[in-house]
Amino acid sequence: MKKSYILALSLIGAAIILLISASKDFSTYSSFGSAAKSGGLVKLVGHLAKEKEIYYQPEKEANYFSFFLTDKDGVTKQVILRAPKPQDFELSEQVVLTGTMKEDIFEAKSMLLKCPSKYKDEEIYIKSTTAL
Amino acid sequence: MNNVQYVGEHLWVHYCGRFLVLLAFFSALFYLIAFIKNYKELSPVWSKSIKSAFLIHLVSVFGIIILIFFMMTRHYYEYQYAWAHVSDELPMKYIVSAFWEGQEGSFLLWMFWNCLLGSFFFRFKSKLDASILMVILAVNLILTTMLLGIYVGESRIGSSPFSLLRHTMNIPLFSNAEYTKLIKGNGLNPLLQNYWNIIHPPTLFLGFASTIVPFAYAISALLYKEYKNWIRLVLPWALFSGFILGTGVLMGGAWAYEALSFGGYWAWDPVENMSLVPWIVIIAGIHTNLISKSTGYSIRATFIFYLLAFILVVYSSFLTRSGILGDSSAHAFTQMGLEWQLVIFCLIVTIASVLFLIKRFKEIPTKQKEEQFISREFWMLIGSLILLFGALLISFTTSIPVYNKLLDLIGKLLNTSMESWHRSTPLNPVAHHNQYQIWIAIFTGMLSSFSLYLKYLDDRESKLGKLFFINTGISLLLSSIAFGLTFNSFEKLHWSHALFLWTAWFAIISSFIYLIRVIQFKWRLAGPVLSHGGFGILLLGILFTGINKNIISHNRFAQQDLLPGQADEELSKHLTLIRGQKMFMNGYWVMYEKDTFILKSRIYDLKVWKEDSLNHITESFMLHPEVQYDNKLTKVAASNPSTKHYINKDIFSLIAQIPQTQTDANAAQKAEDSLDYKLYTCKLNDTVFTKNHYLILKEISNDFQPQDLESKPFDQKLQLTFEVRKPEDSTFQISKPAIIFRNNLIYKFPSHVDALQMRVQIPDSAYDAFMPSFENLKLTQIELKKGDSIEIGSGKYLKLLGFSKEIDPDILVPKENEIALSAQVEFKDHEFTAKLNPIFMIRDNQVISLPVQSIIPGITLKFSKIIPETETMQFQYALHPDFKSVAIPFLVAENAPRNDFIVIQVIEFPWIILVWLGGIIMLSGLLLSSYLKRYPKLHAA
Repeated sequence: MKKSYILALSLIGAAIILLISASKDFSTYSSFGSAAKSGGLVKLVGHLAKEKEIYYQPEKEANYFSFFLTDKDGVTKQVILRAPKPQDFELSEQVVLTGTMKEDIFEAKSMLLKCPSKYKDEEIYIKSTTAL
Repeated sequence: MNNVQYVGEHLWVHYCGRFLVLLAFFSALFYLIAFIKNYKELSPVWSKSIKSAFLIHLVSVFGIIILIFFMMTRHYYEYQYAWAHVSDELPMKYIVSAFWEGQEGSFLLWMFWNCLLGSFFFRFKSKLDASILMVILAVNLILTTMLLGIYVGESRIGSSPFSLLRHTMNIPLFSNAEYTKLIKGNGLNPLLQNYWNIIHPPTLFLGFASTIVPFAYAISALLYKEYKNWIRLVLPWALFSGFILGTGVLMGGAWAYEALSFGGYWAWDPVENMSLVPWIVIIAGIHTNLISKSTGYSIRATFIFYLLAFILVVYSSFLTRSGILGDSSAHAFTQMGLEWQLVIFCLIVTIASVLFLIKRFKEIPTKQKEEQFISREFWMLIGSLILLFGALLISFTTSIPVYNKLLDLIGKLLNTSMESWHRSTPLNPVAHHNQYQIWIAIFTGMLSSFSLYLKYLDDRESKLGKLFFINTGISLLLSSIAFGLTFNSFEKLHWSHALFLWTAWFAIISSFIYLIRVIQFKWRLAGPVLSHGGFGILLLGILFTGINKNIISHNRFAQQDLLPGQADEELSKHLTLIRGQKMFMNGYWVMYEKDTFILKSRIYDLKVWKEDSLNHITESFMLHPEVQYDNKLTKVAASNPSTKHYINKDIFSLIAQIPQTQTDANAAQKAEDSLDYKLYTCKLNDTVFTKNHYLILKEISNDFQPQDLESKPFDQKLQLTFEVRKPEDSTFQISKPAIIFRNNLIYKFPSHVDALQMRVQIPDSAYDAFMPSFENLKLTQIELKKGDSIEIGSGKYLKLLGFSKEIDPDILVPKENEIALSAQVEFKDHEFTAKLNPIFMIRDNQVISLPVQSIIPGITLKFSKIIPETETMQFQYALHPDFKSVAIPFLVAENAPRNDFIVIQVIEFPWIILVWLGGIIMLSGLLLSSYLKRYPKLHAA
């Protein structure tokens, strides 16, 4: 057998092994329920429960931010993020969290917000007139 | 609304623009069809006519761009594109950034570069040139469809940059014929108002666009079965593409690091990944191209790499522009309805490439004999394949959202939901990518080093020379020494990272030895030295910065026990600073000194210093991070980091949070409204107890100078000075609320006692407390000449200084036949001096006298008569009850949020300079080679 064929085959083999191993890192969107069951690090998507308390008091502790999130099953739980509250958090349409469920609280390691596009559906500004 | 005759619109721009888009479209289409019909034998007539088609296309594209700039600089807000991206306040230099903020503009930027690149082939010097132009115009044809904005049935094709705002929105405003006078632009996203956004996008887009040249060469070579010549012709273009695309990627990293809030230069964000992947493939292609040029091996691989690089550019534009990355990327474009057009673009480019390649694959020349194991060509090919692996792995993970969409499509066909099969990006994308790319970097680093010493081997030679062993030996030795010397800079090094460190040194030192011993400083041959050596330096920088990155904004002591279970150091990356208080953070002292508001930014002065054990300052510098407000100044829009650069490290700082009262005007109002103000009254030197504190009124004064309000002579000012303390405290805080009464206006200056979380303000009713009603006053009449002074009480004097006909228009604007005069009278006692300006006026033959009432020092003065004969003036005055005995009302709110803190993140990046330096050296190697290999001689086939 020619060297190049061996090379090609081993490369394809290596590629397949690498891709399979890489795909093991792919995650799925979990819910509070399944996060509690697994106990490990999960990714969770949901929306902010706006009627519940959003707590952030940087003058006391900059790395403590707490809010309530409703997951895709409609379950609402408290979430703690050890980082400052992001801008426009209240406007978020969707929150993607990475973290673990500890007892009844979800401890988030990172958070990605999906906000309505700032410059798309914005109202037209009417020039303020000075006539009085 | 169709019946409205609009006024003030500039519709000619619309018509010209639409026409030029169509012209660009049809000229490209004409070229394409004419070329396909005649490509076998291009007669001079056809050659001439397709050349003019290219010229027409080029002029149309430039025309479209000029028109858009025109409507943007003229602020023609009736156009959606101008309205959405510029505003009256936007500085001119950002008009270019505003141009490519939208998708339409960025497509045009791409087309612009394509046209410029195409003009290099305009002279049809080689047989391939007409075909290269054809490929470029075919791509521009597809890009032009993105700008068409026409409807075919229900579906819209493209999005026109010339569409009118009133066509895109349906609101009552457009029933006003003169609506253009009423609207103003949105302006550029403040995050993008940054000089990086002026230079980075055009560079990156030139990088993306430039990959079309190798692609077009590959397609044309396949078309004309030109398997030899193109190899030489394409090389300088591919090198240029590698240079400029690499520069774009590196600039993106620099932008992210210098101006954005990422806290780093690379985050494996999908948008970053998809700019890196085509570059890696181009670099792989350059290496196989070099092999084919020198040995005739790897021609097929070169075809595949160059075709693939452009396919990946198109795929990348699909990913970033279709909105598909919305869940996984922080900075992709939003959806615009062009998804299907982008999918078709990807399919056309991919299918065309595959078809051409399959059709000709067997004909592409190969060598019978295989590469020798010890040859340069063999190891270069291996290196290219490893690069391809790297690119493949990055794209594989970045494409997860695409797999989900494909699953949904299959699900639609099968009528089942595929939701449960959906996957999302890795939980920790940085660790995920790093774990693979470390090995890609190690292998490429090693190969790029020693393969420099290998030779292209032809059939006669098949042994490694003596020099190879000597050079490799020296490099191995020196790099191991360098490794040993630097190993201790790391606290603990995983063995793979140790290997990485050694590889980086090996790459640097081998290139250096190659420069000295092999090419002996011949700069014409120095391209690879720069590229490979620069790559080594880049690796070294990545390792140092990545492993030794140190979060400074962390204070174990300050934050200990504040929260249950907060042991994880990783989780507390931010520190709260109180203005004026120094804070210790991981080796440094830091103090938030002050902040200044300039234009749209609040700029912070942070002093950072280090002390030795004797409290001597060993290092001290200032950082000036800032927060930037949106165009309406109501909200914080961006946080701009500030970095102190040293040779061996950078100290990066970023404001993560500021008090809510400064973040958002609405929130501030809400917060203020929610405060529980309680009303108290007190006299001078009285003590008042509130719920948690007590206040002593120490001073009442009228000597108050607000910063942001210009004083007027008739302002009635009142400022109170309180000493505030907690019952158990011996130290006190000073609170100085103030108020200004100006005619019918009231300006309040509440005082924030942040240390006690208290707000104090003076209510409107304070005026009434001081002021007796006019009727109750007993007026005393006096007569004064200019310069006269009179004692009106014990130690109290009135002095007439003069007159003025200038009356402040805020008080009174005399009509034409009216006479008004204001007297300038000075009041003086042992404590106060006050200027009093009562006004005397004659209106309709009646005397009107406007008295002055001063709350402090407490006097009413009326200018009642002028006696012309004696030049004396008659005044009436009354002294008010002593203000020191007045019970003054004031409001106190306790438990108010503090206003004098910021939350910061400070990170030390050691040796990050090596990342930039290595990157620049590596890219300059590509540029040098591209320059030296330009105009290659055409070998007779």
